[in-house]
Amino acid sequence: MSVAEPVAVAGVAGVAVSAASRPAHHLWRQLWHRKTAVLGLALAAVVLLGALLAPWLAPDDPLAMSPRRLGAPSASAWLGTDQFGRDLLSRLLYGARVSMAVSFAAVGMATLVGGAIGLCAGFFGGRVDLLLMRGVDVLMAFPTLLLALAVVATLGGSIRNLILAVTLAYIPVFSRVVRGSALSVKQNDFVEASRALGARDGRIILRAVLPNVLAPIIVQATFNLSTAIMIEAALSFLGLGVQPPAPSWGSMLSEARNFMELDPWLALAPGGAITLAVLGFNLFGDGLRDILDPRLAGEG
Amino acid sequence: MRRYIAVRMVSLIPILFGVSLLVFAMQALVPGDIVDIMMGGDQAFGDKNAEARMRRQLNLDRPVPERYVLWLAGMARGDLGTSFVSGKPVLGEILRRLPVNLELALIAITMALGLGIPIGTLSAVRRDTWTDAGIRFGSVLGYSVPNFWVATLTVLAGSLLWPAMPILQYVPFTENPGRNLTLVLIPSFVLSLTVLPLIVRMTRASVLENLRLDYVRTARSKGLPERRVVYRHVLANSLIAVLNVTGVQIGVLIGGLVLTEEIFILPGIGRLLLESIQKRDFPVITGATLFLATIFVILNLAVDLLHAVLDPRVRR
Repeated sequence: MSVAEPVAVAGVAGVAVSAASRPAHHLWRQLWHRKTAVLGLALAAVVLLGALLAPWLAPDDPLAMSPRRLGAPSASAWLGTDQFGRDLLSRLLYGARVSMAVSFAAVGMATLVGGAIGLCAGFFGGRVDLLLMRGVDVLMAFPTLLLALAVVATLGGSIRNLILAVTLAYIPVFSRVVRGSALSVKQNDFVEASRALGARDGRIILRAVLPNVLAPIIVQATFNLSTAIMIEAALSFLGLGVQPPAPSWGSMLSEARNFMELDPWLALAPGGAITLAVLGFNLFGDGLRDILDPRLAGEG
Repeated sequence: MRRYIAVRMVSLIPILFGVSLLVFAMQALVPGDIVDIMMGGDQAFGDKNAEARMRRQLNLDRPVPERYVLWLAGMARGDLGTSFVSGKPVLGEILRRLPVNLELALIAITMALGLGIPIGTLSAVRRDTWTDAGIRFGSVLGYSVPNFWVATLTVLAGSLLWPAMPILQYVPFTENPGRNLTLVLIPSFVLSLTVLPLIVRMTRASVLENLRLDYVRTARSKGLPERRVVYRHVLANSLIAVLNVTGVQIGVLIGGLVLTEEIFILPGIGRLLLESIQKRDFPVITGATLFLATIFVILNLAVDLLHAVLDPRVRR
């Protein structure tokens, strides 16, 4: 182990550089050879397209009630109708919008904020590092769901507050991942070289360090998209997320609890949608990690 | 070792201080006036005297920093405040429900380790066979399925297929131990599924990594049977990594408890927290949040220390 270590570290730095500058089509080809990653991408794409195209794909208005309550799946309503006679498929499609909007916005913001914290902490070190990481430690002291729960409990349930809650809960992960990578990238000669050429800190961070920590950021973000879907659903399930009658997978599953003995589809469909979406991003993330971050590939 | 423990214990202080600051800030950030929210449904609404009394009781007439110091001093004395709704001390309400959480969490962790370690080892030993592929796919699927869906479907299966399924009731252990254990068994199993997949994955990865190391070659070359190499040597060394991932999963388990208690209607701290959120009972919300975060931090420290005891490389 100890003998292999330096080689492995050098290998990682080399791979990280090439991964970031590698042409995109090369990445696609590698991804294409991993069947599970392709399956994951397909699932994620279906959910994303469903969310984006919901207004055109949905056969019905997701809020329109009808006298056909708890209707079984039929030609006019493929997944049947709920306790208010609303079309289940249309509600699932609009629910995907909430799910995708919250996860992408929250993961995007957490990546930016957490990434900036991690870059500064890792690059400057010393007191900056200590101060920033202590703050991150405090956020890490809360179980993720508990922190998100506390935020929406205080501010109230809405899409905006859900995004805020998940962002706050995810800042620590990104800070830590980026700080760790920045620390190891900083050791490289090319960082020293740009400093010797007279580059300022800001330029070194953006031009030399950032491109080399992108791979772990992308991998982490993909995994966090899947857990963000889960947290949004859990909070909405508990009645703390999107408020009815707006459709969200979590609140649909929660409402179904009162009627599922009469119509099991009501409980099966939203849970199945959450599972497929989460599975999609997880499988895709596994594939990306194997390609971009081979250090961790063995963990699969 | 003693020094390592001392350093780690001291490092808890700033973290817990930060946690208290954050929880207090959330309480102070509540949009609108707490007293108005609280008295909204009250008969005393509009009664200026009652409102003023409440403000004094909650120290709302003092500046924010002073309120924080007073609040923190209360916490240090174990006084988490008084519930707006029941009028009882918050700490008592929490401690009364703690046994439910402890029982669920302990059974769930035991089940997850008891199933996860053998399954993960099997997967590693049968690497690249159908068994391995099946277990790997199962674990990816396992952590993609929302646990609250599994719990909901369990309740559904109970009412459709097995009406006598022992769930949705609660009897304290002190009242009837046998009945109590029967009733928490299924919820604990469902809860264990939140951490099982990662334990399987970690065991597999760690066993595979250990199998590549020199000491395994030594053990094999001195003629030890493969069974003994795996169980006596490799597994023992892999368990440290499993311990670590179990520590990380405590947070997942605490989050899972809130949902499990809600779905299976068990009177734990999670349900207390949810009920107090619905009733906007802020002292209970902040008290329960602070309590759960503190437990989480302490358990994480305990796992780290245990890790240091088992693996001397950690204590630098």
